Amino acid sequence: MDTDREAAGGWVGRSVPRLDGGRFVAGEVRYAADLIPPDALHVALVRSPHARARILAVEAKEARGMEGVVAVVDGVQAESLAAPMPMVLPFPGPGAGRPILGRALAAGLVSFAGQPVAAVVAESPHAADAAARRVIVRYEALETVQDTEAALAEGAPVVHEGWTSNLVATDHVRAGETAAVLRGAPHVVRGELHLRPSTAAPMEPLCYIGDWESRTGRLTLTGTFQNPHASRWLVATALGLRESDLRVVAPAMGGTFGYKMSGHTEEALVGLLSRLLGRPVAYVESRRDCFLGHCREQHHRFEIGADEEGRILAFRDTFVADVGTIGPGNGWTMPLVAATVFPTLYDVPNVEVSCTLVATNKAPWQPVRGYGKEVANLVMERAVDMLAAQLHLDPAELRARNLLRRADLPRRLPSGLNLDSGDYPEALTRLKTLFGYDAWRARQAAAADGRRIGIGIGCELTPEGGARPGAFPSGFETASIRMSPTGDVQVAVGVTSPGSGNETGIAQLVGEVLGLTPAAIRVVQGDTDAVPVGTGNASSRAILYGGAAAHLAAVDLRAKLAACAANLLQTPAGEITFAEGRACAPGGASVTLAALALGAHTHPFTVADGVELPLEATRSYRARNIRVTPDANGRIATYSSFPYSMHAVAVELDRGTGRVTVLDVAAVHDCGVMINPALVTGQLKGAIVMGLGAALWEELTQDGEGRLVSDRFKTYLLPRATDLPTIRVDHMATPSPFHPLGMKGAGESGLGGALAAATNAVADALGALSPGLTTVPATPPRLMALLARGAAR
Amino acid sequence: MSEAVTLRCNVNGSDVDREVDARLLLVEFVRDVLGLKATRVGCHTGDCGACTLLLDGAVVKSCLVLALSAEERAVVTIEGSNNLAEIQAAFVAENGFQCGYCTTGMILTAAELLNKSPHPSDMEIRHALVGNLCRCTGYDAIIAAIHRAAERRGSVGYAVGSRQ
Repeated sequence: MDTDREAAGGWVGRSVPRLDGGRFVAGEVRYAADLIPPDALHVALVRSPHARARILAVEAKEARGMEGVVAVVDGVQAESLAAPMPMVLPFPGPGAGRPILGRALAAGLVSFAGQPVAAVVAESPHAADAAARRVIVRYEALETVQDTEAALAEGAPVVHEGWTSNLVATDHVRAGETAAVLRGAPHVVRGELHLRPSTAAPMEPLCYIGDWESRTGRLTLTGTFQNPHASRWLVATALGLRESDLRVVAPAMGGTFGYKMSGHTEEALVGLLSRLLGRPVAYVESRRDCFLGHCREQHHRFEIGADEEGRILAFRDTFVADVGTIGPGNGWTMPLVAATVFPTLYDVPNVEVSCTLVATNKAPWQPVRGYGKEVANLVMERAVDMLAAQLHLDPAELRARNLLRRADLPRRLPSGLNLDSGDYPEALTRLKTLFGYDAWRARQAAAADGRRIGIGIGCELTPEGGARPGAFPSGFETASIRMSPTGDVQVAVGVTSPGSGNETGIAQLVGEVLGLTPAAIRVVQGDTDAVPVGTGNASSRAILYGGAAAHLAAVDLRAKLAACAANLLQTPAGEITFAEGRACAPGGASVTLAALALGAHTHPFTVADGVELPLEATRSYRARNIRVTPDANGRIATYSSFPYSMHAVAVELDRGTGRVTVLDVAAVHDCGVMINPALVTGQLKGAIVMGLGAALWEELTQDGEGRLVSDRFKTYLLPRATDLPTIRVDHMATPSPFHPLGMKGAGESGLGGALAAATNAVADALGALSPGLTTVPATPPRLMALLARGAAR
Repeated sequence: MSEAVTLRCNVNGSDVDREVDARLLLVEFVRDVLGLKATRVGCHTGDCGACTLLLDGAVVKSCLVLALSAEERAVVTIEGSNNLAEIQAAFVAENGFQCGYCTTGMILTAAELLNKSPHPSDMEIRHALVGNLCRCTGYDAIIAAIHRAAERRGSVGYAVGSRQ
């Protein structure tokens, strides 16, 4: 790779502005809902008001007669028109013998409030909505399970038909003799943490457009597809189509954050309806329905033990996650990931983590940025902070004593994941300087009575590059590069852009190899007819894997161009260098890449003598540091890369109202080699703000019967500009020894650390009342209740 | 459509005369009748600001306004706005967007702020943006873009109108 760097145009590591930035700021970029054809029909879904009920009848006569209504389809009809959608990660429920099937419309039984029961298709969204309200569904309401205790109780109703219990999955991660060490440890702290559900809430909700072309028997799906190839597979299976007869197109997306990963049954529904009705059919999710996406709800009980010097001896966490109903998507697997991240960045010899995933009558979990990793970091950081309080040690100092050292890495976690590289203590030291930790502590001590300043630290480990066996596709990404006769370079990649700007990073990587500007590189994404098979967007893989594949493909193309240039310039190919759009011989002679490309296409026997045409190359990058052979504990390693970050947050708690004001936020982050530091900073700050939201404001709430209460941005509180201070960040760049370009991934880092740091800051502000802070987010009503209890004491 | 009425207004400098459903929202009129897609829908409850446009020169959330409210008034969307080039360039230079969905609303809101206050403080900018949600950036890059635009423009201001 050193030779690659030498030949480079120096684009890697530069904060190149977004390609096509002008189109974004002019409003010229088109999102899925902007692409609904004028002749499209519109779908409105009739949703169940019951969390569990038997469907007795769907009466749609009146709705069918309403103006503009074209069809009303219920679950029974839908079953006759298409098969259910399979699961992304096939998983048989307890006693079920077969995986869950994703029905777009419930037939027989509804299992969560908000589950679609019938689809109304009409000439306009308004006509569809109006008619959906006139569809009469007769239900027999059934006993529901709304929490994990009820779900696991003897005789509880079983959420999924055909299952024998509501126990979805368990995992146990163990190292050492945790129980014995905790019994004998000089200091042991026990705590619990209820994490309430929150969600990704991208600014653009889901949108899917199905367009069946009867002439060719092909279906085109355009929409918010974070994983176009996985969706092609799922929908083709449901509709009985060959995959090659289904084209999935993902235009620009208005944020994804996991929410737009495949497994939403509406993906198949619009295809089914378009094929049935012979017209394009569009489904545009409402903001309310976007809040149905449930996730993160779990309850942890933890213990941490240390010696007199504050060396952590053992850590134990037992948690139960309420994963609602299991849908075809992967969201429900996030707690399994959480369990593998402990004990994060710390050197802890004895570890025991047990997790239990339980089904309830709630909506399926939708994936969310952090993917469980943010939760592990939150729990670990709470435990460390509580230990610091017991030991009367500064929380930063306790961390410094227990972080793994640079020389300890690589280090295998108890879960089997293999930490790659970094300097955690150095990052913590830098954080203290950047944040002004000592000055903040002084300010805290000097704060006048009634003002409660809290300072919190959060250290975050963010495993990236998920490559779970059985997931499709997992540990590889592919790029195809081609140079046209005029020298135009196009690189097609199987990774999609969620709006992060990864296309700019990919263009930088390719431009660096070929001596071209990033603007000269056309990056093609999000079209299964045009790009190689790939995962799309998940687990920070766009640059980490997709960028590495693009780099490799560009290196292959460069070799072909070097051979052509050698023929033209009468110089050995190994001596050709590439810069500023030219191939150059050592003596100073050079030729433009455009001339080379034209020459190769028009003079194949001379210019391209000895070169395999066309000027194209396809390469895959397969992740390293993945281990599929179980270790002595039976564990495999499904993440390749381990970016980390250190966070500090200062808050002020208003003791009269329970309101928390965020005063200061700082973070030091290391994702290895950065291709575009400004884009990395953007990702990091966005994730930090999501973490602050999850810590302080964002919470999905339901009434006692499982119906959504937080159905708009007035009740689900996203961070606004006035809620935040300027966020200060600094980067370190410890290259990964397991990646050819030293990268680690930068799409999720910041969420867990900010979530933990803000929660710890609130706990710090609560002082002696902090053991009562067991529920996240720390909303004003919760804090008021705590303060009131404290005052009554 | 059952309640069709005539709507006459000026959109991006052109007079418009259309039969529309009386129940239509302004954002639907702009997007679905006129095909101006840079004005976006994020919530339909006036909370997110993705549908921001100018009505008689003032920033409004077009999901909270009936199309008929624009009768005899001037609507300007970002497609038809003049005087925004420096703000737009600043948003690109500072990475003041990621997915871009909220961006047109952010830029129109920024222009209104800079027109009233050519050199706003951080806090003024934050207050001006309070009605516009961004889920990607954490706002810092947007605020930096607005400062940059302010510096470039000096005290000239950003009175935004339509191009024609």
